[in-house]
Amino acid sequence: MTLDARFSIVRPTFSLDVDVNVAPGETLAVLGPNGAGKTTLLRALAGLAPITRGSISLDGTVLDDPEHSVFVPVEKRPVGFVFQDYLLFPNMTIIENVAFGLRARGTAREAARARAGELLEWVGLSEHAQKKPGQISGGQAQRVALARAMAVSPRLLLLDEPLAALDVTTRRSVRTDLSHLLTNVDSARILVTHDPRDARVLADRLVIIEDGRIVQSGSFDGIAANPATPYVHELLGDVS
Amino acid sequence: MKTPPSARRIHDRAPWPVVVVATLAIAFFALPFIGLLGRTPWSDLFDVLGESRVRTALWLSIRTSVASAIASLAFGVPLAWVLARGRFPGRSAVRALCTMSMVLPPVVGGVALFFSFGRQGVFGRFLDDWFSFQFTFSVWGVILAQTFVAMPYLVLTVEAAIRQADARFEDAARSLGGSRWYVFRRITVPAIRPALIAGAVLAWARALGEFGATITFAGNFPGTTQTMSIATYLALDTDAREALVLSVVMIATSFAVLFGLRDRWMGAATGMSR
Repeated sequence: MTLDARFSIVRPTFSLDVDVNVAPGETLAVLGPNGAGKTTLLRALAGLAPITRGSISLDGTVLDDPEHSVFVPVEKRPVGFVFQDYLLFPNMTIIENVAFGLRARGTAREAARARAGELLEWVGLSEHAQKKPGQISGGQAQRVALARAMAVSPRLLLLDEPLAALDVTTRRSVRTDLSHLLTNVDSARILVTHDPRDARVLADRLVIIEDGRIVQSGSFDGIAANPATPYVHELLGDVS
Repeated sequence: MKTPPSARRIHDRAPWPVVVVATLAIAFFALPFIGLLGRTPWSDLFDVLGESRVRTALWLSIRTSVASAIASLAFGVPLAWVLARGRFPGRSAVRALCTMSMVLPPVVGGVALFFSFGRQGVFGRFLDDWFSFQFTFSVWGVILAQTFVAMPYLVLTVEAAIRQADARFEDAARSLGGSRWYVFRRITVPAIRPALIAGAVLAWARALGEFGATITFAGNFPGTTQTMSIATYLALDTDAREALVLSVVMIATSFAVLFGLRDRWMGAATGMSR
């Protein structure tokens, strides 16, 4: 297992208690209603939120373990994060956005640009390299965000609602494109979504979270055939 | 002539008592300037400006106010960041301490500076003993006093902008491997650039107009510590024309600054969130 995370986060009004494992090249979808703790889970894995108990390890390296006072800060973790509204840096061009991670880690400008160029070619946006984020569509911005996250060769890729910011009419084609792109990514992947169609197309396995707890996990068809809670039944009922 | 439908607008008319009182308020601000401009010796304007005393004060004010604005930027931006993002006990008290000079009578600030950084002051005596350096009665004293009074304007403007800027961009940058300092330089500072400009200009304008703290702490020596504001005050007793001309220069500058900033100051924060 590449990612091995078993932890809880306790806050005054909210708690999250999960156990997730993801292998390289595998996509795990995390589904659940708003406020279930999906984004908090990703933020904990990325190092943007500290955990209260338990541990997170990636390829045998412990990233967070409060009992042993281990906490690898976000910038030191081999984790890529595609944020919900992509968060492309508005003051930089597309290629500068993609090159950001390499530049931040000390890669020389030319080498970083060359690598960013390759990644833009991979996501099919070479001709937009010199544009600003405001000049491209939502689907394109999502691919830039993916290229930017992959530029630093993360061993774990986190995708937070990568399709939620898109127009309904483009969502289906962007989802298909994303699915093709992800087959070339050999890191472990976690996709957070509230849309079961995303999970069905993009994920190998599903985990369903309600109120900070995992209520069911397994394959899409397995869960759809035997939903554990009324929410799961409702969620997967009209898709399968 | 008929108005095309697209040009129609609904004007929200203010209630008439409000309009009347607001007009009085505008007059209250406008009349002093009209009075001043009416007495200004326009024909001698450039002659007076050319007088060496006036020129010296003008040049000193320009140099020291720019230096104060730069010092405010250099120290105020990190301070604003700490106030906006730092988590430490007593943050509100620290903010109050660092912005107190905005509301304090400037003379009091000058007295405080005098007893701490003056030649006999609690800290100033060491500067004198160890480095033979004195703030009092020197250009450095002017810059210190002006920065003391001006920096809070920058700090509050920039702090508001940092609070309003979307911190998730910083999260994204850090998740890509950016150190805190790298992210501050490449992401935070560009995001708050309008507020940096607005804050620096406000601090500069405040430094230019500084009087009380400067004359109390740095004194009143032509060429070293006699700034425009001080020269204006003193000229009133000797040569009113000088006072009027210096005032006109400062009024023109202040108006240009505020007009140029327009919504930037008030909306420095709102204009930020992208």
